Amino acid sequence: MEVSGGAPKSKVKVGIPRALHFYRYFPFWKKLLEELGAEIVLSTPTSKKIVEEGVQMGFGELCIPMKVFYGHVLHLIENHPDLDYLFVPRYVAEDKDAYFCPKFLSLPDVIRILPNVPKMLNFEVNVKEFPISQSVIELGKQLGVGQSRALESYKTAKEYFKEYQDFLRKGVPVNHALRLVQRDLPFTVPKKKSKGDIKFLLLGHGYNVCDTYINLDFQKKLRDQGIEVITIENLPESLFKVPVIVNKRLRNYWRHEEEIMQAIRYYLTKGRDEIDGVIFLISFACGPDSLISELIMRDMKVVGIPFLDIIMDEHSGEAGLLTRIESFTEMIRRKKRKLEMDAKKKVKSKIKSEV
Amino acid sequence: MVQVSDKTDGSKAEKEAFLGIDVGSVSCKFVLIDIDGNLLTHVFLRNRGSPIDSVKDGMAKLKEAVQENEELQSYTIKACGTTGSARYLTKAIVGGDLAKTEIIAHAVATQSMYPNVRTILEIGGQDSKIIILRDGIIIDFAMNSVCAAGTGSFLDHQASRLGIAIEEFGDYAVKSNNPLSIAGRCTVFAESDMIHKQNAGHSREDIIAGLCDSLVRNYLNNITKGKDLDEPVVFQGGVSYNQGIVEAFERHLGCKVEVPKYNVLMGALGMAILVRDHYIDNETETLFRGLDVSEQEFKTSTFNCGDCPNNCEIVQVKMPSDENKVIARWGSRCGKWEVF
Amino acid sequence: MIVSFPNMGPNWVAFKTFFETMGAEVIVPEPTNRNTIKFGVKHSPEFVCFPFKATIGDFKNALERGADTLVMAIDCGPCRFGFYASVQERILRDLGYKDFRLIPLDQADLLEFKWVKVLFDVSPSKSVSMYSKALKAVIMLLKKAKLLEDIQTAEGLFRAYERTQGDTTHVVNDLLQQLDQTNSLSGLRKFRPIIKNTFANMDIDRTRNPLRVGISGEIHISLEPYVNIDLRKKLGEMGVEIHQSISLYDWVMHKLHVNFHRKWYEHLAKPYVPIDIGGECRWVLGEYIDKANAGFDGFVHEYPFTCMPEVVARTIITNKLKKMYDMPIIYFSFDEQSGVEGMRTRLEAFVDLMHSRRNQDVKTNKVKLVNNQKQYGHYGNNFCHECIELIQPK
Repeated sequence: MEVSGGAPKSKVKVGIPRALHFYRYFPFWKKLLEELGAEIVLSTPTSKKIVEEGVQMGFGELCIPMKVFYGHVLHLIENHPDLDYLFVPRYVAEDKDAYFCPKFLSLPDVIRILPNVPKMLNFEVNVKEFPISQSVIELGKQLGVGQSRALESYKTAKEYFKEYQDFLRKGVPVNHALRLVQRDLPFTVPKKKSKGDIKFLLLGHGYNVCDTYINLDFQKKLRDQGIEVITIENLPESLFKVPVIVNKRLRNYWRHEEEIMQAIRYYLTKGRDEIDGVIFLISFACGPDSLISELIMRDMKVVGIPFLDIIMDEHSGEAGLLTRIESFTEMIRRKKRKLEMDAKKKVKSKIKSEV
Repeated sequence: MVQVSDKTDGSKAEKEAFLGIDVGSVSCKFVLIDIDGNLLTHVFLRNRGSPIDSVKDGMAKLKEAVQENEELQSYTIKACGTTGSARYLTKAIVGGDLAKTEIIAHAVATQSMYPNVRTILEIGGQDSKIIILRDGIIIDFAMNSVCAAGTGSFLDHQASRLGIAIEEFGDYAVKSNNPLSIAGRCTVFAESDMIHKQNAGHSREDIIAGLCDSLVRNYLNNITKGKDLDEPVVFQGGVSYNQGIVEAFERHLGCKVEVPKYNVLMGALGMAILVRDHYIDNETETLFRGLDVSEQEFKTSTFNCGDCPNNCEIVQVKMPSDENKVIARWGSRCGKWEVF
Repeated sequence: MIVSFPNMGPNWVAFKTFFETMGAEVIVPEPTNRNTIKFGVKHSPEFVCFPFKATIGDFKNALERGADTLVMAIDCGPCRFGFYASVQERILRDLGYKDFRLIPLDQADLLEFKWVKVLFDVSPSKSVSMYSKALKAVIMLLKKAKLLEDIQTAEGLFRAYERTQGDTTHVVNDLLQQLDQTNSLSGLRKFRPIIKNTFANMDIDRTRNPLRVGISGEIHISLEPYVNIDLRKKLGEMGVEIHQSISLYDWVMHKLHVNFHRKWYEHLAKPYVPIDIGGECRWVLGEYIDKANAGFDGFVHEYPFTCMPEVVARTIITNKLKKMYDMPIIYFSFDEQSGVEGMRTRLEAFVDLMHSRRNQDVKTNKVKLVNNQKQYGHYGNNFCHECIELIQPK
């Protein structure tokens, strides 16, 4: 964009759809793009209209998060005709041994061919082929920023993202942290209201676990029942250092799935007593989850941790979901109470026998 | 008396008629037209038991209709075509000259009434389809391939749940000001969601309008992906009786939706037209067995093939009056029994 | 050591030779059938893609017939296929099948030669002669795979011309039996003329001018006739010429980096999908464009229900390519619920659609038919051209 004379340069407007990788990388993108001199326009949180439009755009066999992504892009196109760019990065591989799901690999390609799409910023993360810094330099070029400043921005963004991740590891819900990022507020840990009597590990991709419209505000439903919820993002970094070997000859596969497996590995072994149950949120037609959930389900059976998988799509009804959660938690509470009673009885009988 | 061409004495200069039969999943339709494409008479009946029984029943009804009408008796059936999911079986039973898919039949019939039609929506008992035409030729089509959520049986089922007749369904829907949103990927979910809404105290009108809306949304989401639905739009099939659905379509598409006069007979009508053209082009003698098919006996039997681990169950139909000739076989995966 | 492998249409002929040349005993998988699928559906994750369910059924059949070594390809593309082997092994072990080894065959890049280890694994003798055997096994596999591809090419062409329905199917079955019996290199060298002659001797109607359709899609679905409900045969018997470039040979050559027509497809698809996203996405797009440019009448895209890469391909074709190239396309996504009747209706309607378009094109002189000579331009491989000579009117 060329601006002549001394008029203040208006910032380049970049639209980001609030879907898919937004729930994972948004703080990084935000810092990076802002450092590169862009202004960020976010689509509104998922709403009925967005889902409906997305569903109309994507055909039946697509998974619901993709349809929602379509909806957000359409929302941006409709409500922000002044966008200079759309930011739909291509995430291929974040480390050498793992891919993302094919739909992420081709995300910019399927968005580019929609009608009336603004220009798109090219940003490809593919460390199998080239380092991220190179992509950042490319991104800088498109925004008219030189190499050294681009690298500088990358460093700042990376640091900020690290800070954000550390903040999450203190047990802060992702949605709360994302709100702070959006408003440029400092990371302060919110006061915990009350600790729940049982603790669940909520597995699933960020865009399933955190999109409160699609999952019918699942996390809140759990908290309302006095359950403490932790998600993968809240777990300590050390769990994710060693790769999970599913099969010796097979290198590890999808980044998200590996994280899920790593988290589960901890609770299957050392952390067995730290949680009372595991819930896996899966979107209908999700390829990777269909296989991983099978493995997890089988592992859970062996160890005996209660496990509930919930498959969501755009038609999920609220009533059915509530019934399932309520009965699942009820089952666990009963089990726990019974164990406690048994333990007390044991103590009593022990005292008796000693007497 | 309607006669079959090879049974007439050639001296009488009789008028020519063509029969189209559409045997669908829920109902079967018979249409008789003259050479100019005018509809002479028709029969519509719900399926009973096997398609063979339905066809025989239909033929008997058609015969009655002809016997009651003097005018019709001066016609001779020159050719007969079959369509619908049981088209091959029907063809074998009545002695059809041509079997075509219901997609082509529907398109042809609609074009005869609306020559400029560009989009045809069709929702029947157990399937739904869309046909896109440009400049008079079909350029694209789609059928529901996943489940029955977007079809008539879905509405039928919900109507009986709500305790109202399916015929009144549309009238209720039209009265609603605030259609509810009802989850509707599959009938089971839709039903549980509907019960939930009922329990929550919503009015029947709103629920019904919601169901209509959900059916249309499902239809549009499942089968019209990537297709341009241009005007003029024609909507046919059993469900097009339902005014609520028609209005829901108009709302979603933002244009006028036409419902043809013979909305449920379109398949049979199209088939009659197709077989007429076939007759004019080829001038072949018809294979039609005549309306007396209703009195014919057909014997069905089944056996297991056993030639491969699939062990398919083969069904065959024999005609005892014709030296027990096998006239149709189906059921094998590899297709080897279907060739005679 | 009794080796078995999953079904993929007629390719058992090639796999069988491959392992037999190494000296292993081979159990050829029972043709996929209703029970195979039933087992697969019962024990697989609910919405995993269809090849998973079909192949796990094959494994169970093989194990029950005494196999103790199963070979399954794995791939390091980003699609689900790479995870098949490990999840299937887990499921089978949980079901109580203990005494078996499942050897994953890494085919990410065949020039990395990881697959050699599989050969050595299945070889009963571990002496030096193993190396020469391995070399022979590979040559046999490639030769047979190429011949299988030739049979497939000829089959697609000739079925549209046969006078008696079913002739082509018989010819193909005979040829497969013969090819299975031929186990010397000299015999294989002479096999190509045999294929050509057998087809040339068929009773065909050369005056026909059938519709021309390209088929592409996910490889297992495209090659295994049970899971695609004999799509190729059904379409062929409706009088349609079928051109399918996907085959085992095609795939192996691609993984050896010497498949130039796939490179060409990649080039054509590059503006729409620049990188490999797994499955056959890129090649389907490329092939669609290629076939449209070659003046084909239509295209069939087949894939397992919810297959990730193919769903992307479908999205791009419907939203973009179809509007650019305007070649009719029909999609078939297969799973255990796919029915024969619905498919037949859709195929028939598709054929009618292509016919009416062609008639329109002939009327408006877009397409010219000269003496019923069939014009193919530079399309197809050598063998395809040899076959085309055979079907030209005399």
